Amino acid sequence: MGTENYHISSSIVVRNKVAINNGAVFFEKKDGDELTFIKELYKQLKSEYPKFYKMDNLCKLAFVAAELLLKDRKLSYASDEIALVLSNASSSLDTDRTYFNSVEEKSNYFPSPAVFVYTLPNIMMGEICIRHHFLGENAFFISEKFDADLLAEYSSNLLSSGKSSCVIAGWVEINGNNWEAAMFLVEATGKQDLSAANLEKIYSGIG
Amino acid sequence: MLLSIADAVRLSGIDATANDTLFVFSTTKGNIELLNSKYKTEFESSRIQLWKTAQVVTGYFKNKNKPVVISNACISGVVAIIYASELIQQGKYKNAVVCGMDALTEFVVSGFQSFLAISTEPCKPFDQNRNGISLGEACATIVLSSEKKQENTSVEIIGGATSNDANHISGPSRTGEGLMKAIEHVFAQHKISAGEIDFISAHGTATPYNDEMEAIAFSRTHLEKVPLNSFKGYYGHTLGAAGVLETVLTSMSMKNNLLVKSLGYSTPGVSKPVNVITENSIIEIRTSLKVASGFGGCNAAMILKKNGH
Repeated sequence: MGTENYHISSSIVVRNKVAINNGAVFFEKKDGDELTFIKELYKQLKSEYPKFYKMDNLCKLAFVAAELLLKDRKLSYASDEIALVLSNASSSLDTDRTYFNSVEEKSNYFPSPAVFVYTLPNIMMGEICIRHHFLGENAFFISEKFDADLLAEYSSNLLSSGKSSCVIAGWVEINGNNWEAAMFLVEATGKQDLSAANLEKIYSGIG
Repeated sequence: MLLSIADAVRLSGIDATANDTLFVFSTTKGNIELLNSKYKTEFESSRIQLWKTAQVVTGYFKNKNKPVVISNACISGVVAIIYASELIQQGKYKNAVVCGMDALTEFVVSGFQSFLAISTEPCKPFDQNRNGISLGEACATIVLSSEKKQENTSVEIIGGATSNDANHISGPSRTGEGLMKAIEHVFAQHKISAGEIDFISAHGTATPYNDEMEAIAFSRTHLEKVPLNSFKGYYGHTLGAAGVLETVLTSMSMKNNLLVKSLGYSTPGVSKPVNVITENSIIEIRTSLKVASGFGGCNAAMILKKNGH
């Protein structure tokens, strides 16, 4: 696969109201719903970014995932060398349903541009790019399940082609009460080799 | 999608069932209409998922590879073609069937209406009197192959680059920086200069901000004299299909050496000069630039070259 030259320098997983940073529990709060947990996690991260509260659920989840991933790192790459490669299964369906409810009934018709704009899954990458001023490559993939092969291969190709020097790859999914995020910082150097097997291990919570 | 892909596969002569053929899809909203309660009993709930649509279509063509779906707003189609062409260049697949699709739905129309982004008449890309987009719907398929066909000319996807404006989730950059970077990157990666570009297939949605942003980006990349059009004057903005559809049309323009006039344009309407094509004309087109931009601040640029005279 040619991925052995690159490394996973940092990783996070957010699932079942537990936030894990590089294999260690960073924050856990089991009472309350998923959204409450994400807001609590946001406070723990001390990001002070008021726009967070305007985002839809999926972007809130992606935003805190990226904050957690980058909290101890100041990336020294040029802005346009930092790529984002995210994926999920359910696209933006969580907000699509909210939006659709606002236009389904002609007697109760109130489409909002502030909601409509979140009916695209790549808006997550837009929010993260605005926050961190990343200007590099963007790609959003839809997969039935977390696809470690796809993320490893695409990240590796971005680095080996010289298009990017650093890739933030991941999975940010909301399907009902199932909220999960996994993000990986992929660079030339780092603790773990970039491989589909390692991404899979981290995602499953065993790496 | 089935009809479009069947046509493209037949015309290309590839084996859609082969292990070295990959299916790649680009769409923003896929089967979003299935949210409507009237479809609840007709289809299983997973049919609304984009990966499911891809599986159903790929299954119809008896292809066993896991289909890849790209959903990256209005640059989806260009990203899908760049992705597929790179896999072919790397020798991972011999052929790729890239299909872009988006339907005209209440969901999308109401959303763009809420943005006050829809033109009251057919859209007028780059024109002074442009006042928004026309929404269209399309399914377009392009077959990429590492094998040259026995034709006089073929068009090659040289490569592409994407970028993010990091500026605003629903409005393009005022400085064109993101699109400029995508263009600069693809030029640098493939050692191409602005002077080599014979034709630009612009995104040209006909919103005041998009066309202005593109004009600034073309000016900053020294492309202001290159003939350009927006095909959207003919059929509107087809969202996730747009990049595939406009690449098909760009490829046809190159094969026929035909610069297609940019429908709806008469009076210059952007702050930087751009060379909008006002009459169909025959000219040798060797190298083309396809660009796209979308919500979320994303931009894409891709180079096509004609060879094999």
